[in-house]
Amino acid sequence: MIEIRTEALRKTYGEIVALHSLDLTVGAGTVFGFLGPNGAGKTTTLRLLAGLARPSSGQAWLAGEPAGPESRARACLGYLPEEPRFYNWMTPLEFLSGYVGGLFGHAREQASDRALELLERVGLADVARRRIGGFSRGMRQRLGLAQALMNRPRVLLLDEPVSALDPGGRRDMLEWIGQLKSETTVFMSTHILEDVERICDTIGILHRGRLVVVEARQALLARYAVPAIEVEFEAPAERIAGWAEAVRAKPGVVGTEVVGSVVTVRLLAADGHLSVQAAALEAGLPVIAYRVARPTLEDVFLRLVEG
Amino acid sequence: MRTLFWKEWLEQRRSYRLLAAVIVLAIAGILGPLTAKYLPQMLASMADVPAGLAAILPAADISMAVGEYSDNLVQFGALLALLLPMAAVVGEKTQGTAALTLSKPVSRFSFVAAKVAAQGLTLFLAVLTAVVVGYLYVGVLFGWLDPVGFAAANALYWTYLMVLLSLTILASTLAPSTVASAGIAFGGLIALGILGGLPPLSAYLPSALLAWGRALALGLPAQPAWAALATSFVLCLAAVAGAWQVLRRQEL
Repeated sequence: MIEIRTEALRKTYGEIVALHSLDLTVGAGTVFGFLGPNGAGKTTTLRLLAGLARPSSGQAWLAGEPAGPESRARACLGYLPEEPRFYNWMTPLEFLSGYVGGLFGHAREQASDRALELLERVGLADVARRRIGGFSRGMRQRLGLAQALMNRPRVLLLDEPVSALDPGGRRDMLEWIGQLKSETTVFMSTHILEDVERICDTIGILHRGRLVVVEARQALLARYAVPAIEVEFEAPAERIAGWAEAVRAKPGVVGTEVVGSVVTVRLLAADGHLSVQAAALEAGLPVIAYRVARPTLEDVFLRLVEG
Repeated sequence: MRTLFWKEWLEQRRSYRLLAAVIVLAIAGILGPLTAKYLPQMLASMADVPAGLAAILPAADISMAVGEYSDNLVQFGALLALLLPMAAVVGEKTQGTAALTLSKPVSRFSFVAAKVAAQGLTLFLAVLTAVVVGYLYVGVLFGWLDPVGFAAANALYWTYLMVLLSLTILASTLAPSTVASAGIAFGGLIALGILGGLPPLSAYLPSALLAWGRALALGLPAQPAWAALATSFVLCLAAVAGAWQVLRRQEL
């Protein structure tokens, strides 16, 4: 089942085209990573889907309903902006059960139960009755996730959900998002490749308002990643650099990169590693490690975005 | 709408806006009859006041007390009607809370209407406090007024203040910042004041309610300003409808 669909969705601000004719479908139960550098148009897309902005042309649908301001699609939507803001004079429990629950038309008892469950889930149960005004950025982000889940949404839109968090907060948030897969369709924008690699099963890369690619994570990595070998030596830096220079001249080698004592050899094809292996053994330098480099999303991203 | 009103009303109480408004208008209610009664005596007791000034001051009477009360209530009330809601919409838009709220299934009309209702209730309770203390002070110091006439007069003052409040909410929806919102609302107040002073228009504008109210409070015969009352209701509704339409077209 398709939960998010856009057809020729376009947004302009005067002369500036923030989003060029976006055609996209996201199936139910997907954790979709919407990847792109800053200014690529990710937040614009999320705001269009959340009904906070109007498209210049085109249309989007969420859970089968047309998206837009005052649309019915908002009833089955959860939205977490990049920097969620709250009423500082409220407590998290009031905000979730009284306010957000009320906006969704939940009965008081039902809203209160759901609020307590979510506060427990995001680790805010012990501050449920404290004023939000005293919350750290990480606590606000967790409360933001809780409010987005209040209505058990069919579609969850997350705008850079972890960019402001410390490593521990990031780990927790990504874990929660990963667990939501069975409950909802997650559409998450980010510019942090590592996060997408960790939890997303489908990836869309946006660059300068254009969708460059959409594919399942593994297929994308397989298709675009450049095969590479990492060789780690225990030798003086100049001898390692000399070896890297020599290997670069070999047929089938695209390039080399030296970081500390590790040389990354990029290959034209995966079977080119035999010549690298031979060169490493012939070098007469002590080899500490020899491994096939795991293709990263960064490779794919840089290749697609930076050409 | 109910939830949005609940939030707005809770905010009025938690942010002490209700308390501040009640205190300000209570002071306004007390100050009118007190100054009418004691200003001549205070002037007479001052050392450097020119001789004979106290003698030429008109004797304080109930009419002067009600006049002072009405002027204070409307002036302090107008200030509140500008200050209380000037950030109502623009504040939520710039802080980002409007985006969080309006991504939920609520209408933008409810968002505006809840604000007008909660702030109007705050103003109503503040005027009610002024009515009680003003009535008691005028009664004790000058004699008892007809309570129905006095209440009706204050209902007209509140209606006048609601026009200013609604226009400020509209300004808050139009403006890009709180300061600009206050500026636009203040400009509207000045424009209403100037137009209200023009003879052909004055009978149709909200400021005509003030003279009608003063006459009602004193139990004097007065020409009812029904047209001004109707204009006030229309202006309130138009301001709310305008704010809704402006907000509908805005992106958050």
